[in-house]
Amino acid sequence: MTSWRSWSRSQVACRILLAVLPSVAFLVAPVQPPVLLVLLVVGASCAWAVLPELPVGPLVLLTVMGWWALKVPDPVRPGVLLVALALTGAHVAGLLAAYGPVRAALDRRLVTMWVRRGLLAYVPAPVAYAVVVGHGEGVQPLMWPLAVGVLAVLGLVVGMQFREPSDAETS
Amino acid sequence: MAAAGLVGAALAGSPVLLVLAAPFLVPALLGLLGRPTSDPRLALELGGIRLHEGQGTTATLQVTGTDRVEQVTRVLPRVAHVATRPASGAVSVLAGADASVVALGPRRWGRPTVGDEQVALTSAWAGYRHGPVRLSPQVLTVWPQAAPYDSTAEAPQPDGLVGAHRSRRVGSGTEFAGIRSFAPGDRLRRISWPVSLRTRELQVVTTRAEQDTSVLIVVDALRDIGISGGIDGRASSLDLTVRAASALADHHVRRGDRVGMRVVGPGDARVPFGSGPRHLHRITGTLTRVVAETASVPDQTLELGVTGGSVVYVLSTMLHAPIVNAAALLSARGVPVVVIDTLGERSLDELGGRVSPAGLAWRMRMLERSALLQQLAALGCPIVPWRGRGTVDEVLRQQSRRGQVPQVRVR
Repeated sequence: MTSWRSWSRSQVACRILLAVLPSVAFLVAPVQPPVLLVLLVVGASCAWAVLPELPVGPLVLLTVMGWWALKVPDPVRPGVLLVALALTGAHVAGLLAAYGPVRAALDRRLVTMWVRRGLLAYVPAPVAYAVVVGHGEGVQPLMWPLAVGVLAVLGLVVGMQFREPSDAETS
Repeated sequence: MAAAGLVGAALAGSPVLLVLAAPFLVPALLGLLGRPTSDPRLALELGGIRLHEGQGTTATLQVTGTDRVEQVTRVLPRVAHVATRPASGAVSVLAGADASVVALGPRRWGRPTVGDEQVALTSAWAGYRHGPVRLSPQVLTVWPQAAPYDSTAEAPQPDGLVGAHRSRRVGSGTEFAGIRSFAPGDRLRRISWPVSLRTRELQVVTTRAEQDTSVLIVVDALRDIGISGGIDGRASSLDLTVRAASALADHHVRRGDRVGMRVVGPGDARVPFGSGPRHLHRITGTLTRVVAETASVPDQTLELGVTGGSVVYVLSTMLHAPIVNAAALLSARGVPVVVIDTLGERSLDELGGRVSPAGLAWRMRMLERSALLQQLAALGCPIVPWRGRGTVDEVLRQQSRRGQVPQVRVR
């Protein structure tokens, strides 16, 4: 059992962010969620904070996203950008926390790099928000082609990365 | 997650999912693009595997076979009496020179196992992870600290060849022994011309031979009393014993004496008499393997196999009968024995106070020990606490003086 005195401050900060950010993103929704779901999300966030290498993190993020998409009326409001920022921050904190045990202090350069990356990753969110707000109802027909296009790009990238070299190339 | 968000947005017709999932697209794509094409090979290289307690070395991680490593996590197991920098023993840093070096500082003699650390590597944007992989352990040899020790006393009964101790035998030394008549075979430069002129007969100056001696160091490893705090903290009885044995061996080997060692405890290690730096290396190497006995100690007679002419240092807490009996037996046989008390100062607070059951038991044990030591002293066996420089000077001088007078020995 690791003594709490040996915990590194950077890891503790990451884990606090992991416990807080998804819960905040979930609770700031203008619709009151059921208590059971609140407990589930908060508990899962805490579990993610304790064991950041477990796949419970993406489930928490997807749950928050799903709640905003399905239950919040008129969700396209400026506040959703803050929710996106909170989810991005949680994702980055989760990555950093999963790098090592709680006693492993995170390198300052590593943290700085991931903060920059997180901000860079966040850039598409305001862009997407501007597109959604700019097109109003007209954005619906664009979503299927967009989703298929992005999935195709992802599939292409994955396929290229995992392809085996042919015999002709190796011989 | 980005893909799931986009598909969900399309299926549910919810543009907000597009906004929320968009930040996960860039990391996902860049993470996939950074896929390593080969498995990395990991190796740990220690800067030095033989060092003294208090010295430091480095554990360098060598990663070869791939150039797509962005981040390295190293988690070292906590090893007793081995300090690490960083103190947590775990690092999570960007790949590079800093990531590959962790400082290790053994704080106590012995043979600690280090290097069985776990290493994990991640590619760019945390797309792929290799490990955690456990590396092969390596054993450090940590010699006892070279304690400051020196002695000006001579051995009581030197019986070797050429050495630094004045013998009772007449020989070719420098210490004046007497003047006698010239005899065939005497060197001319030994003739004392003033005395010869006065007596009108050739007289020669005789000197005492200078010989080496054999020294046996007996290390009592039947128990380790107290808690070792390493080189910076409090010393346990075995710490005192091992450091004192190392200092004594170093001193006598430097003076050219033949030194042997006997470890009374697990393994019953024996180092035969010898001299020179290589022999000293062997003795200190044996000391690093000393571990304390944990089983009960039977009251059997301990035969140290010492003959006359040797000096025996018994480094002991004098809490066990075999060691006490062996010291008494040797002393009765006329062998110069010096008992060096390595129990040290022990606080009763560690045992819960003076009137706690453990404290009372300890005080009773100390009373018994005190009576035993008095009996041993009455047999002519000196007992001195280890205090470093000059610990045994006075008792060795007393033994030298005692060696000049005839003795009745028990055979």
